[in-house]
Amino acid sequence: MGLPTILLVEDDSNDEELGRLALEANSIKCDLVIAHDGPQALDYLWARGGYAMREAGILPKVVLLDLKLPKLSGIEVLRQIRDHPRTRHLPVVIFTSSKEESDLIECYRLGANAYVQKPIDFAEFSAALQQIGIFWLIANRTLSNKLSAHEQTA
Amino acid sequence: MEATASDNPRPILHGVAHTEAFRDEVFQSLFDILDGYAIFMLAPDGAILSWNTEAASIFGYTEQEITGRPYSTLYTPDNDREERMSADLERSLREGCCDTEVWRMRSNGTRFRARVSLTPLRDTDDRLQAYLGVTRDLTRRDYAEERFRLLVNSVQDYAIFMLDPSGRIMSWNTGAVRLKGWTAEEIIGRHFSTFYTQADIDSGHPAQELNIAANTGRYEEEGWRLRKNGERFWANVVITRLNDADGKLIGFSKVTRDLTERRRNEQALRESEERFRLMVESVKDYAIIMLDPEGHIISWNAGAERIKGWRAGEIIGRHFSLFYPPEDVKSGKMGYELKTAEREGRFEDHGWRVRKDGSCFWANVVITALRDERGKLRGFSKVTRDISEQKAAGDSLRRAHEELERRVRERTQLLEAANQELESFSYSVSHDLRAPLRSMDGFSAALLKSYGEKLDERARDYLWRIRGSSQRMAQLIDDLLNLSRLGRQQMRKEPVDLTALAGMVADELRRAEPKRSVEFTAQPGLEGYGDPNLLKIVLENLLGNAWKYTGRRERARIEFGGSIQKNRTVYFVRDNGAGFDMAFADRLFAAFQRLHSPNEFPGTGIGLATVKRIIQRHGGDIWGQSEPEAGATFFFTLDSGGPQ
Repeated sequence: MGLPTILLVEDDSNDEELGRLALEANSIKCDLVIAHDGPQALDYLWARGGYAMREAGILPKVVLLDLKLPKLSGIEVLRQIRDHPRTRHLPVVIFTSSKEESDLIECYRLGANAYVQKPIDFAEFSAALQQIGIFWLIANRTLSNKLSAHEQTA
Repeated sequence: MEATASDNPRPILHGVAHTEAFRDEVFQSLFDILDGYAIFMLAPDGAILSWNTEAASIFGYTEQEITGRPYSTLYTPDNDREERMSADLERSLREGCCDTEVWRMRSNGTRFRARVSLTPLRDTDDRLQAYLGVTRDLTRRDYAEERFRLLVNSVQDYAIFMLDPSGRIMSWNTGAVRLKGWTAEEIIGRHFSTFYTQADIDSGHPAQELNIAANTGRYEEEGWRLRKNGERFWANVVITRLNDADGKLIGFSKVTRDLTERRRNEQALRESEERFRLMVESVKDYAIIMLDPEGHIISWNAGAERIKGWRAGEIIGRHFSLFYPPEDVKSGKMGYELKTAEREGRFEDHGWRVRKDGSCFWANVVITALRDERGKLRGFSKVTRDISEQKAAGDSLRRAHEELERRVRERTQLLEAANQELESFSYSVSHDLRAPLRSMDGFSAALLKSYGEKLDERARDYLWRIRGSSQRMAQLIDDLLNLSRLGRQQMRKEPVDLTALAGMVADELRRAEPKRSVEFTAQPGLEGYGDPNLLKIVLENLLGNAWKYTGRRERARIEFGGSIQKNRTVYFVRDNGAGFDMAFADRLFAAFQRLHSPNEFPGTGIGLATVKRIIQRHGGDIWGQSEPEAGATFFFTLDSGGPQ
């Protein structure tokens, strides 16, 4: 068993780099996987396409999902994650610039676990990622794959 | 009871001889004189003793058949005829004579009306010897004529009298007295032209009437006649020639009726009808016409001529289908209209009608069935109005309305499109404009952190400036987005405790800067009607500004209050801070307009623009009052039109 995985779905390479910097700055030890668009994120999660060789049973501890994405919007990615039995209970934290109420409502309706607006001030940005990391990688307990599978058949 | 009847049970037998002698003596002579009278003698007990030939002819019994039978044989065969006979005999004894009109019966069973008298006959000793009975058949012609004369005489409502062949008056009845005023004595023997006006007499009219009656048997007319007092009356006169059995002219009967009253009524009715006709004819705004039951035009007024173009002479007698467009004629609309009016009494319609020149007009038509007193359909009245102008006005109003609705729809669509655009604009602003700022701030921060030691003081200062600018820009973007959202979001109005809300905002400000000492007062019991979230933003901004601009005061004072002015509550937020120059007051509420530099007081210049937008959405007003360094007061009102 290696480091816990975070899947960051982010098309902006600057934000990707800032995220990496923030995690490093907070000494959060994790395997940061980046998906640059929606389909890539789904391929990774469901171990298909470019990720077909990946072991399907291993899921990230948390997905950080931007909303404004090329090809497939973050909202649509969230919907598909929740529709798929394997990822139905996967923690998804919306991590976006938007603070539109309509986005908030829609994300929670579709089963997002949290909604965090990306702060512009790097200090705040960094603090936000630190809290996300501590909570989802360390404090939070996820359903084991076995339990998840069991729940599927129930 | 008469004593003689009981004292002497059989006086008849005893007195027969005497009576017979008496009979011979008296009656033989009467027989010839009294033609038409049944004359008979009765014994005191009522048995018939004798019978003349007239009695035989009237009653149908021969003398042999009837002699010795009781007088009651001649009565109508009711059960009590014996008693009635006794009563009659007693009455004649008592009264000396009994003269009555009664029914009698002939031997063949037929009945007749008779005048009967019964007289007791007494001898010199005043003893009852017999009764003398006299009976006349009142139904025989000569008597009948007499009765008819009496009848005629008694008629009151008609003057009935006879003229001789030359026109002289021979008889005069009660009606004639009443109608004409002369008594019989005054008028009999005078010529009937007495009743005529001088003009009639001069033209020989009375003689002509007699001539016509003599030649044709009858003459009738209505005309003026005179009463004795010279008064005229309108009379119906019938003169009938009277003939004797050989057909020879023996005179005339003349029956006159007073029609004055009737004539007066008829005249009044005619005049009223005439007035009505004139009125209908002169009406110009309505075509009022009459149709016969089949729909042919009987009358035509001025309005009909004006509206439809035909003159009365051209149209009367023609069918009213002429007024209908060909498609209505084809579909038989007129027949349907008349049937409906006949069935329901009335038919109303709006539709196109045709004028004489072929042009069409939009008409309101009411057809009413006309029935006589017995309910028989006599025709229809048809009232037509040309309402083309109203229809045109209505049509153009409707078109204008539709146009307006279309424009509103268009505008709404435009507005919705604009809103949509604004929505997606702010959405993309909120996403896309932030990301670069975050990079600027983030990488500057990373530079400072990881490479700070390699940079000199100046370079680090620049990096800090980059970070400050990006954060300020982020704030601007947030404020702008909030402002644009204000115009779009739904308001939920309700009563709001503004005093409590102001206290809450002040507490938040104190918590944010616990080191500052500010004296804050809020007038108790201030209420407003509006959206609580938006009103909180108003107070946050106004109190926040007051808080900010009193930053340099040692004894900062902020006051929230309100007062009723001109039926509405004017709220205010007052401070003793930096204030502003009233010369710039109109720029206070424009977005990004600041009266102070960011170095003096930080801010984006969005706050008051936001406040003004909210107040406007509440139907209220906001204004400020200040002098530099003398503090500022911001007043605002809210729409008072909440539920009372």
